[in-house]
Amino acid sequence: MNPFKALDDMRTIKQLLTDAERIAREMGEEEPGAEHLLLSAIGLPDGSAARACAAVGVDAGRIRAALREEQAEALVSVGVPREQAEAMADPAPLGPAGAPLLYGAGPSAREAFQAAGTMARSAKQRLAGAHVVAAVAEMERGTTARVLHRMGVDRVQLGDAARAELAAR
Amino acid sequence: MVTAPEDPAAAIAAVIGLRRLADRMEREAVERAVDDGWTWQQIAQALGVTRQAAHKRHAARLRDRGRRTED
Repeated sequence: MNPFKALDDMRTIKQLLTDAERIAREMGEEEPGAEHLLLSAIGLPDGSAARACAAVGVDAGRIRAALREEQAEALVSVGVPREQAEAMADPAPLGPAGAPLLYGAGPSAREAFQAAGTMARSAKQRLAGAHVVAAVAEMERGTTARVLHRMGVDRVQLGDAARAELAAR
Repeated sequence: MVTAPEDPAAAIAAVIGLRRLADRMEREAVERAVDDGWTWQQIAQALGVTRQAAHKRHAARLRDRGRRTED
């Protein structure tokens, strides 16, 4: 393997995972899920994830808003009054991790991260944000799939947009 | 009265929402208990977990909170 490519990938991986953890904690979660990995990918400097999402009308702000709605609706569905549910769904930030929790991702984030890496390796490409978007778009269940559905995003179209970004690299 | 949605996907989403809410309530309650002078043994008893488990789950965050307050 080209050592420069490996170094580039290591930088991307570090940024992807540290940002996912920071975003999760800002949103009151102790460990990142696939939804936080997606938000982190959108912020990567290669821009491919942001462009793939924009192609289906999605940006980080919309995802964050839909995540809050998802949390509120979950509580409403078991009988919590809407006003209280919405107040409870507001993020309660945890602050930076004091202990070195780096790479302590939750199962859904691990699944998406591993699938993105596998995709990049099999295509002999440098890891890019669009690999994460393509991996997340494959996830049929879970918070991220529900949030995409809530925003009216077709996962197949999102996956196609991510693959188009990767083909253009 | 809490009733779970019939659809399994909606019911599981509700479980995630409740778990997230329970985690948040636990963090806030433990912070108040520490402020009120509870020991880790008392917090662990109240939570129904071992002292080590309570400490592992909450101590680092509370230390950080202390540091941020001092800043």
